[in-house]
Amino acid sequence: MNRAKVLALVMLLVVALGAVSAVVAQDPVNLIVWSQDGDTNNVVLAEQFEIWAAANMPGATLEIVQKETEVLRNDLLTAGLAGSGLPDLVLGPNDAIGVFVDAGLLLPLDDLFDMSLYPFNLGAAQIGGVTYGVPTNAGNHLMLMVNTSLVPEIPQTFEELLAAAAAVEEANPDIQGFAYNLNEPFWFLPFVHGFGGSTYGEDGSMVLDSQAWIDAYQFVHDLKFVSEAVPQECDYACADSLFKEGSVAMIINGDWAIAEYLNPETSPGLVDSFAVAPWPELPNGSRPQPFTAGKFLSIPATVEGAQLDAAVAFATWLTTDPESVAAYSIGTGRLPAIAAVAVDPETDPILAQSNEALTTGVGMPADPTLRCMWDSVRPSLEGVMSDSMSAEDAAMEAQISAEDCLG
Amino acid sequence: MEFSGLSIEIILNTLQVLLPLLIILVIGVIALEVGLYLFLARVIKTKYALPYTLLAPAFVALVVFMIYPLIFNVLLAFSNLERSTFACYSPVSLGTCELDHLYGLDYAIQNFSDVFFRVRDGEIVGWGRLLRTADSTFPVLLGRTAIWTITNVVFHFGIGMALAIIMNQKIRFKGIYRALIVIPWAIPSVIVGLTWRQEFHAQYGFVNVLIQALGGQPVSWLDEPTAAFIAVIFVNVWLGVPFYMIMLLGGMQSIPADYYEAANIDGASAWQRFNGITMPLLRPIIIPAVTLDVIWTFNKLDVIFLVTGGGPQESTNILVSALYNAAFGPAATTELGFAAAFSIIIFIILFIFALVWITTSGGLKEIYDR
Amino acid sequence: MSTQTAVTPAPTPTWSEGGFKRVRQLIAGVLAIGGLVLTLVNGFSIGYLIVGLWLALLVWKPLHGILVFYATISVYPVLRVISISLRPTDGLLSRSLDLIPPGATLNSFVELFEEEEFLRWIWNSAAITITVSTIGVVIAATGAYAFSRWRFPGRRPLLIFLLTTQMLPASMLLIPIYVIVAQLNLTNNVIGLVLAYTSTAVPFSIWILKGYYDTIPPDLEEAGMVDGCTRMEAFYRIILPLSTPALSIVFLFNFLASWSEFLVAKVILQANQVMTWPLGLNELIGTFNTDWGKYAAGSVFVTIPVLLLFLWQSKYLISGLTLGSVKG
Repeated sequence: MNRAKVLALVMLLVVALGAVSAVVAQDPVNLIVWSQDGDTNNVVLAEQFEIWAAANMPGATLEIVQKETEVLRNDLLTAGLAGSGLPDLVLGPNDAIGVFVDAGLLLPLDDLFDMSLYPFNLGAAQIGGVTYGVPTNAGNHLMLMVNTSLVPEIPQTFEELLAAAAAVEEANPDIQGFAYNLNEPFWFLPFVHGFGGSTYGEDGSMVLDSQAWIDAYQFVHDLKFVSEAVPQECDYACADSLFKEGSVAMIINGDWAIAEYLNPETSPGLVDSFAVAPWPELPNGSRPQPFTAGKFLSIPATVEGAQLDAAVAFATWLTTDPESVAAYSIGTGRLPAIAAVAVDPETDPILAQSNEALTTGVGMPADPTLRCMWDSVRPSLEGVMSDSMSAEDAAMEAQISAEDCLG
Repeated sequence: MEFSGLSIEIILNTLQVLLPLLIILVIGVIALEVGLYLFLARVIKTKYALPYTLLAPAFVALVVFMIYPLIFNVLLAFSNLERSTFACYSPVSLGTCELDHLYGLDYAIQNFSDVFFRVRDGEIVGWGRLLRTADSTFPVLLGRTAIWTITNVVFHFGIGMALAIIMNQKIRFKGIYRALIVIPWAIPSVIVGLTWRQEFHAQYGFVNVLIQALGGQPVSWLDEPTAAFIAVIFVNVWLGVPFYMIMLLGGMQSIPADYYEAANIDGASAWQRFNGITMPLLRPIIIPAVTLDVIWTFNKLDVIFLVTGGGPQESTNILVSALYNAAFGPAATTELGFAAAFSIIIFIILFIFALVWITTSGGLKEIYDR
Repeated sequence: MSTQTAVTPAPTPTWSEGGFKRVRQLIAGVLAIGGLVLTLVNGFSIGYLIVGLWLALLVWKPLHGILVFYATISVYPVLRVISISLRPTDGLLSRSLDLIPPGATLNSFVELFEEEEFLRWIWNSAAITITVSTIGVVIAATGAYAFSRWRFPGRRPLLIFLLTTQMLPASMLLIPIYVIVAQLNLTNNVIGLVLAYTSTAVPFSIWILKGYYDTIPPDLEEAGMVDGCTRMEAFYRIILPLSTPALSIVFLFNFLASWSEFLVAKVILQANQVMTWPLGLNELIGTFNTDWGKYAAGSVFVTIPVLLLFLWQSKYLISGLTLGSVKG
C-alpha cells in the first residue's frame, strides 16, 4: 500500500466519520405548534406526537403553545412583521386562515401533501383554489348538550326546551334549566341561519340587516327577557362550569368540550348522564344551523428544511393515518375528517350524536372578510342582550359597522 | 426528576441564561462607564464627566426600550400597513407588494385623519370610528377618559386623605389597620382584575349577593354599560387608595408637632389647622403624587382589560384600552398604521396636559430645583 | 425622626363630654343587641349581627368604625379568593358568602401542583423578577445620585424626559418591543423580558431615589472626601447605607411591577418553558378552561409571599416614599 492510498483512505474515513457525527450530533427536531385548542385536546395531540416520533423520528419533540383565537391571530401577524418567531405549525379553526393568507404568512400545501387523501372538507381551507390547511377533524360545531339525569327526554323544539327547563327549575331552584354563551356571536349565528339568513347575500356582499337577522336578534332577546329561560348573565365560563357541576340541565357548546364532559374528574356532575343532540327547532319549524369547519393544521411561511419535512410528515400522519385519526378523534371527542374512519354508533354513541348534529350545520367560509361580521355583530348582540337596543337597530348598526370594516 | 414542571435541569438552564447576562451586564457596564468617563474627562474635559457617566446606563436602557419603540411607532404612522399591504412590510411574507413607496406623508395624513374623520366618497361625514360601534369616536372616548381620570384621582385623593387623617390621630391598632388597608396595593393586578371580574358576575359574584341580602335589586354589572363603567372605576379606586394613604400619612407624620401646638394656642379650629398647616406643608407630596396618578390613570389599561375588556358594546373603553382593542383586541384590525397614529395622538394629549399642569401647578419645581 | 404625631385633642366640645359619650354608648348597645336579635330570629343568619356590631362601633367609636369598614373592603376580596380555592370541584360557582365553604378541600392546591406546571411558572417569574429588581436598583441608584448632586446642563430636560416616559401608552410599546426582542432572537428566552422590564422600571425608581438623596446633606460626603475617600467611595460608604429605606421601596416597587406584569409577557414569551405565572393563571380560566379552583389556589400562592414582603417592608414604606418632601 503506498502512501497516497493510505492518505486517501484516511481522508475518506475522516469524511465518513464527520458525516456520521454530523448526523448524530444534529439537534433533534423540535416542532413548535401554536394551538387554539383546549388543554385536554392538546394532551391528546402531544400523545399522538409521541407515538409518531417513536416510530418515525426518534428524539423529535413537540412544543404546544396554547393561544386563544385572537391572541394566535395577532401573535402570528406580529411575528410576521418582525420576520422571526413564527411557529412550525398552526392548529386552529379555518376562519383565521383567510387573514394569514392575505398577509402571505402561510405556505401553500398542495405540493407538500397528497391532497387526494382528503376527499372532503378541504374547501374550508382553500383560498383561490389553493389549499392552506389540512383538517385534523371535522366539526367544530355547536350543538345541544343535555344532562340526562335532569332532562331525560331530549327536547326537539325550543318550546319543548323551555318547558323542560322550567320543569327542572321548578323541581330544584338551585339548578338552571338552560344556559349558553349569550353574548358571543359564534353562538348567535346558528339562530340567524335558522331564520333563513346568512352572512353573505347572493351577490357575495355582506348582509347583516336582513329580516332573518332581525328575527334572530328578537328571538335571543325574548329567550332572555320574555321567557326568562337563560341566566341574567352568562358567558362561556359560566355555562361550562355550571354544566360540569351538574348545576345546569342544558347548554349549547361545541365538540371541543366533549372530551372534558366525558371525563368524570373534570365533570363530576355529568357522570353517565351526558348526551348531545342537534339544536332544537325554532318556532318557524327549522333548526338553527351551526357553523361547521373543523380544525386545520397550517404551516407558516418561514418553515423550511428539516423542520418543514418533519412538520409535513407529522401533519400527514396525524390527519391521514387511520389509527391516528381514530385515536385523535376518540381522545378529543371530535369527528374524524377522513372517510376511511367512520364513527360507530354502538361503541361511540356521543360521537355518533355529534355527527348527526354536524349534518345540520353550514360550512364556515374561509373568507378573510368574515372577521368583519364577527366584530360588527358583537356590540349589536351585547346591546340586544342588555335590552338597550332594539333588534332592528342592532341589525342596522351591525351593517353600518361591517361596511366600515370592509372599507 | 420533575415536579410541577420544575426540575433541577430547568433551574440550571435559567441560571445558565441569567448569570452570564448579569456578568456581561456588570462587566460591560463598568467597561463602558470607565471608557465614557475617561472620554468625557480627558477628551471633552467637562467637569460633569461623573454625573453623565452615572446616568449613562439608565438612559441607554430607556433609549432602547422607550425611544426606539417611539420612533418605530412614528414610522408606522407614516406607513400604509394594513391587511392588503402586509406583504410589503413583512420580511417573510410570501405575498406580493403593490405599493410604490412604503412610507410617506400621504399615508400619515390618511392615518391621522382616520382617527378623527369618517370619510365616505371623499367627503367627511362625521367623526371616525376607532372601534366598531357608532359611539367609539374620538370625542366620546376622550370624554370618557376625562371622566375616568378625574373620578379616579378625586376618589383616590379624597379617600386616601380621609384615611390618612384618621390614621394620624392617636388611635389604637394603627399598625393593624395600616397593614390591612395596604393590602390591595400588594396584590398582583392580574389577580385583582380577574377576581373582581368574577365577583361582579350578576349571579355568583359577592357584590350582587350582598346587594340582594340587603334587599336591593341585582345589577348586571358586566352587561349594562353604565354599571360596567362604575364597576371598573370602583376596582381602580380600590387599587389606588393605599398609595395615597401611605404618601399622605408619611407627609403628615413628618410635620413637626409644635406647628399644631402653636396653632392651638392661637385657638385655631380643626379646619383652620388642616387648611393652614397640613395642606400647604403636604403640597410637595400632593402635587407630584397627583401628577403621577393622573398620568398613570389616564394610561391605565390592565384594570379595564381584565375586568370588562372594554365591553359591553365597547362602552367602558378609554383611549388607551380602545387603542389596545384596535391593535390586539377581539375586533382588532390589521391596520397598524392607523393604530400607530392613534397611539401618537394619545401620547401628545397626555404630554400637553402634563406640561400645562406642571407649569401651572409649579409643584415639580420641588423636584428639579433642589 | 419622630413618627408619632402630637395632635392635641380638639377644643372641648360644647356639650358635656360625659353625657355625649353615654348616649352614644347606649345607642351602640341597642344596635348590637338589635343585630343579635335579628340574627337569632332569622335562623342564625350571621349577617345581621355583623351589620349590627359594625353600626354599634360606628356610633361608639366613629373613627374605628370607618377604619374597620375600609379595612373590610380591602381584605374581603382576598378572603374570597382563599375561600374559592377551598371549594370542592362540584361547587365552584356558588352564591354562598361563607368564607369556609361546605366540603372544604385542599384538592385545588394539590391539582395545581400535580396537573399544571405551576412551580415552573413561579420559578420563571421569580428569576425574572429578582434579576430585574436588582439591575433596576443598581442602575437607578447611580443615576439618581447624579440628578441629586450635580447641576449639569440638560438636567431639567432629562428629568422631564423621565416623567414623559410614564406617558407612553403601554399598547403603543407592545409591537415595537416584540419586534426588537424577536430580532434579537430572544422570544423563547427570559432575557428579553428582563431587559424590557428593567427599562420600564428605571424612571420611577430614579424619581423616588433622587427625592430621597436630596434630603441627605451633601456635607456628609464632603466630610468623607476630606477624610480621603473618592466621590464614588463616599457615595458607596455614606449615601447608600443611609438610603436603605428608599432602596428597599424601589426594590419592592420593581419587584411588584415585574412579578405581576402580564401584557408585555403575553406578547413576548412564546415558549412554555419560560412561561410566567400571570400567563399560566390566565390560561387556567381562558377561553376553553374554567379551572376556578386551581386559579384561586394559584392566586393565593403568588399573593401570600408578596403580601408578606410588603408587610415586612412596610416600616420603610412611609419613610422611603415621602421622607424629606415636607420641609419642616
